[in-house]
Amino acid sequence: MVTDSPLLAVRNLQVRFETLRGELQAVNGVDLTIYPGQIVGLIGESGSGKSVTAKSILNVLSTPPGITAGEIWYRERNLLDLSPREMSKIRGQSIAMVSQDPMSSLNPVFTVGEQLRDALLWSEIVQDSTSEPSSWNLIDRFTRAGRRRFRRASAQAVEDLRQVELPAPHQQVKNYPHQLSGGMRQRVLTALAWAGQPDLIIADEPTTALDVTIQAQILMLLQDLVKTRGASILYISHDLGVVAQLCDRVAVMYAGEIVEEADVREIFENPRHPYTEALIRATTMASEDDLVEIPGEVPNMLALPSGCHFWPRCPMMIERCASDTPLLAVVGPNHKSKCAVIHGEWV
Amino acid sequence: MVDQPLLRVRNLTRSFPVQGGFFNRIVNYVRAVDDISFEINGAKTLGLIGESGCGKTTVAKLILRLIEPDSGEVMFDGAHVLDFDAAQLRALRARIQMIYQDPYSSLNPRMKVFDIIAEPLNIHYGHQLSAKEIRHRVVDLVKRVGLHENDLGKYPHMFSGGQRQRIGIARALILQPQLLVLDEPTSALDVSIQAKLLKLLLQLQREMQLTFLFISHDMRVIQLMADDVAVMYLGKIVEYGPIEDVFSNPRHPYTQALLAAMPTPDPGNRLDKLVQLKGEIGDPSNIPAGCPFWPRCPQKIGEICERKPPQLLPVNQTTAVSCHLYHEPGHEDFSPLGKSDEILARR
Repeated sequence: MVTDSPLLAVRNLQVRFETLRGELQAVNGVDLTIYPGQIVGLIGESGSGKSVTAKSILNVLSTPPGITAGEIWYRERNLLDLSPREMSKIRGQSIAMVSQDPMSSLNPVFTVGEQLRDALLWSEIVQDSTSEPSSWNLIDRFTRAGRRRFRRASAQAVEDLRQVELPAPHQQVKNYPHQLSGGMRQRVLTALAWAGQPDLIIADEPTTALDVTIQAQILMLLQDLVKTRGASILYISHDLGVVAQLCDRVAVMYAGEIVEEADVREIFENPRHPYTEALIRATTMASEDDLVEIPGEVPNMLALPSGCHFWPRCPMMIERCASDTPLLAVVGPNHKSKCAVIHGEWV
Repeated sequence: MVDQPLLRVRNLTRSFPVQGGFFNRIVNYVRAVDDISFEINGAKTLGLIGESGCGKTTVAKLILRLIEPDSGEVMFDGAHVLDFDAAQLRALRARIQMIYQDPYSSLNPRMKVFDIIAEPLNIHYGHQLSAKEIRHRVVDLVKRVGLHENDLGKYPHMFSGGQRQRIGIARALILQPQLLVLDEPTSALDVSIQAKLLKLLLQLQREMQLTFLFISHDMRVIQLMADDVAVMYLGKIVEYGPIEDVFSNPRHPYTQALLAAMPTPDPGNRLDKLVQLKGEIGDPSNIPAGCPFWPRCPQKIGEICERKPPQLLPVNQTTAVSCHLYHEPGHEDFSPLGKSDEILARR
């Protein structure tokens, strides 16, 4: 797996927002590599920049448009160099996204069958290289080719819903999103994401709104789809439990930077950054002693502490932490940490 | 330890009418809470656990009489809450306080923190306490929940989610209540913030001899906080007992599935073990006959599960389970309440 060339390589990603109170550096120098067939987890608390990272990969950051710098290599192309037209062919076809809230990401006035059918139609139109994709093709029921495409997509929609284990897909295609439960909506979103046969799915906390028994089913579904279709997933979450169960590799974000990155077993058994360690203990909660104090709150992104951004909350902090900026350095096999105290660079 | 439980709930039932059709007639009933009995001893914590729609929050509201039950009995400190008149209810609500899930919508954005926390005092003792005394009490409490005196002049929007929840705790504690009903108090918070808040709650419970009814869908939180646990499914308690017994030796198939589905931050056990249940959580307006859990149950015995509702019956000295697996047909005629009462009396 590791010998392959990476599917996605994010290099030194910077995202800044102009705000009324000054410039906000939401993502600062993020490197991320995803190989084919790999599930990579991106962990962080709210405001750590994990969703901004995900959205800037697809260039779908909403208002205000961020100022993005760095490189995002998908196969042999830098996504940041692509024109909007080229980028729209990437979205959904090569890289798709499943978002957190299954209610607000489905259109309430179309049935799930119509939405899935249109996604499939669009995917076919985009992949058809003979003509430039246009929205006209989407509503084309007047030519024979258009009708054939329409029928094929409608049948495929039912088949795709069956693949995501939605019960009674023949009936469900006629239902509107509000008629489905949260878990069923999330299955529909998953089917939508797979509609364009992407080889990378960015899943932004897809199970946060779900109950735990349903969450387990959705995670299992994602894992099965990865196995059967050979795609990769970038899985964004704040829940270390979910990431531990699902992912092959894990990156931990804090204040816009990756502070630790390793294979899943390594990072949970041998965390080499104080923040990761505190997060793991706060998630385990085996006893009251595990409720380790991470003093203070997640820092204000407009006024980040100098040096290592974690120092005001860090139990291992030394004087240099407040002045010098640590680097993400190798601390073990396939294991990087940004804590200069732990990897012994600063004494 | 007191002789009688602080809160005693017997056969509490509440259903809501579903209106629809011609002239908005009542077409159906949702049985939100169905024949629920439990009790909490002073300075102890009962964890109420279940997935969305199972009736957890309705139980909380019934106890406070924010909604009225159809039938049943609520005894608080030896008095029948359901017989209270308006004046008695007001006095009761000084002794039972509630903490809500959403720290954003549960604080009035136009009131300063001081006014939010002092408001219960003004309502209940406004004419007895001097402004100086009120100020003194508020300042004292604010420090105990980990905020600063300077924060009192600020508005809620100036605080983070964790700090807002502390304001909510201070507001609930200012009247020195005996029972605190906590409805998912940490589920909107990041893990590191959640850990700190849980630690604060445990500390306050010890210092002020508080009794908690702790509602959550998160098994890890319940395991940490609760002495006893009641597992709810579609309006019924399916398993009830001391936390050590129920969590180390879950008997009801639903409890087993819930515990298995909890993703642990331990990469050793993989996803396949998480999924024990197929299908969606049942619809509370269309609860199946017999055991409400049978359509999803992996250990269904047979026709008896579809026909006969199981009773919550003791399986040992301390724990009761509502499942035919544990109750031989010969036991069906036992009065369940009598037996449950015996269990409770022995504890």
